[in-house]
Amino acid sequence: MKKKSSNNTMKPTLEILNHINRVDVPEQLYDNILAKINSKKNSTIKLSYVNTAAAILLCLFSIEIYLFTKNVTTTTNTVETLVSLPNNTLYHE
Amino acid sequence: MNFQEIYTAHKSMVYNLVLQYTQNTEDAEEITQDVFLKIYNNLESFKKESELKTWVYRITINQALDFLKAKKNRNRWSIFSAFSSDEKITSIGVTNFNHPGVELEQKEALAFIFTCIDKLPENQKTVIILLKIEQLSQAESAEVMQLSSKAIESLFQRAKKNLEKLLIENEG
Repeated sequence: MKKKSSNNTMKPTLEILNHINRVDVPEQLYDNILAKINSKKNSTIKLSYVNTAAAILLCLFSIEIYLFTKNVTTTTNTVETLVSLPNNTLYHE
Repeated sequence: MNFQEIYTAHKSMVYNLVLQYTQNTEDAEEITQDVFLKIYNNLESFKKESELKTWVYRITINQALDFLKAKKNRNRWSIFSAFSSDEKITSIGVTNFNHPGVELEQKEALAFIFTCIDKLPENQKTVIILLKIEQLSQAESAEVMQLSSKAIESLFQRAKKNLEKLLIENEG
């Protein structure tokens, strides 16, 4: 027996899809979209503000590094002056 | 064309197309809002290589598919998903069906068909929606889906075959 073709069996199924009616768009939808657009506008930060904040942070970070390295060198100097380090050089050879 | 004009010209097309993907008004409204938000944000970058209508169609389809994917993932992780089977059509699928464009006497039949359509791969689902529900021509569907007319034809044949299989599997 010949198998029913896909075209024949699917025809009524696909035809039923044609009976879906067009629906009206809810009236409040446009206002909701505008509200979403406005809230997005308010919540976004200007790029110039981000750049300024990044520059300030970078400055603070470099100052911190500079102060830290300066502090390290001075502490080693003070240690050297206070403690007499053994010198292994042979004077009386 | 400003944003309001674009909205007025395309709102019905976007909302109805989204409804074919979601089959409920709550999700359709949310996706439609997101579609127009995307259009608003990308209006300046819209290159007039394609028609505005085609561009809107593409945004709508992508937004709807992304939304459904995200929803599926959310459901997968929810506790309640343990009670719903993905393989067989349960009453959950039918009760979620709230398509306002479907008449009462056809609701049950269409809910069943849509549950099967939802199980098809994304491009097969889209081709059925565009050709059979939205009544787009093969050439129009090809432009929207960025495929050749021949590819659309074979995609539709594959979709039909798979849909038939799913309808038979889930009928019993």
